[in-house]
Amino acid sequence: MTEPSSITNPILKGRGVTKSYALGAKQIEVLKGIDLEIMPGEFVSIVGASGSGKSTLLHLLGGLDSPDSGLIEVQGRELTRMSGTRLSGFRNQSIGFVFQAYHLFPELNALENVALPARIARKSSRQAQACARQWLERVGLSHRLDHRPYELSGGEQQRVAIARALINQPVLLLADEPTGNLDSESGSGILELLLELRDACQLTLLMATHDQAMASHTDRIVRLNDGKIAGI
Amino acid sequence: MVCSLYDAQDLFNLGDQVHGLHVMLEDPEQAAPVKASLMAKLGPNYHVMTWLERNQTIFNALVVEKNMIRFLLFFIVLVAAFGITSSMITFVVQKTREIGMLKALGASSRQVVMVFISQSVVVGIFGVAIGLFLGLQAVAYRNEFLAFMNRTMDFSLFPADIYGFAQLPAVVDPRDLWIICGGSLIICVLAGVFPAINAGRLRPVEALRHD
Repeated sequence: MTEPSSITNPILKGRGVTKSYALGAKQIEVLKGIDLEIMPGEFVSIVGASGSGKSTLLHLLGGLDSPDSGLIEVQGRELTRMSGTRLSGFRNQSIGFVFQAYHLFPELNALENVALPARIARKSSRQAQACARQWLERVGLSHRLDHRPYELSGGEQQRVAIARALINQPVLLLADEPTGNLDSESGSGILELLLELRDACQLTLLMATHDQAMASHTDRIVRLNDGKIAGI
Repeated sequence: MVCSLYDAQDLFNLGDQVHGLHVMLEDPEQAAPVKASLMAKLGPNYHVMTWLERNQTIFNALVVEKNMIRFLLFFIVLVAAFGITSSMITFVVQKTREIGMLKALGASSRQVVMVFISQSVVVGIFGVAIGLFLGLQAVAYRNEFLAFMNRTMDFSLFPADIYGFAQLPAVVDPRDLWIICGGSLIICVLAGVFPAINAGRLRPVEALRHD
């Protein structure tokens, strides 16, 4: 008897992914053939030293950048073959991003920041704001709706960023050092929130971190060393 | 020399005839059609001239002045358009990370382009509205301004003996307003197109890394 394809098939698949950057006349190989599979509902962390290619891999897996060679599939759809517009739409609907520097829009308040992906998806302002309000309540910021990013603490800003990443209910959340700018208490709060949301939303999470303690809370650890997977 | 019509007729031996007649119209713009109807009625033995034809030299000079001012204004608007383009380029550079984030959130290149073009449209509408208001004020108070300048500079900016007017005449033609306002708005939006396309072309990962 075969299991349902949604369970057996990986939600994210990378095959022979390579990426290099030109630094003057020199070519720097950042990723040297990465093979990776993430199953639905998994919480996987990518660990490695600074410059090991964690962020680059995350950007490639999320379709923010294109690999030099190799294949990347999310939900069975090959990102490398998508046109720019289709890839943008796919990112908007299926992939959420959380960054170390939060990247909130300083001109917008928390509610407007969270509503942005829904507005990009052409939801009405009222619908998007109602949805954003629910997500901000969910991340514990119902009292901070009208606050601008500079009026929020680092932990609160990261919660806003998480709510923004999840408003369109993506299947995959990619987090690049989400606790990197936070103190240990706020960082633990963010990790707890991610674990809670993973369970509640049946989310698949991929987190790049250099913090071994953070990584130890995830289902699986992928170690990157010198552009290659050193261990799983 | 000023004398009565009868004395003049007697002096020139004209009997009850005259050298010419002046016809005063309520609307000076109607001179050409009135001339045509007079010529049709009087026949080829009479010579009819409008006020524009009688003062052709001064009007030609005014047309040259008007064209020069038109060119001058065109270049001023062109310089302003370059100013808008350069401000928009600076704005795109300042907002590079935000553009990267918009793209990471799923905004298409077209949506990013439209954000920046919308900004040009808003700037253009405000600019045209302020310009229109200030322009109309300048027209309304042109003679007060002329008097002030004459007083301040001790120099006649609009000599009556050359132009034949003691005050600055002005006609506000709605058609001209539409052309000037519409043209300025179009130039303003076009000035923002190049930076907007540049913003749309930014690759998300490079934009996010921008310092």
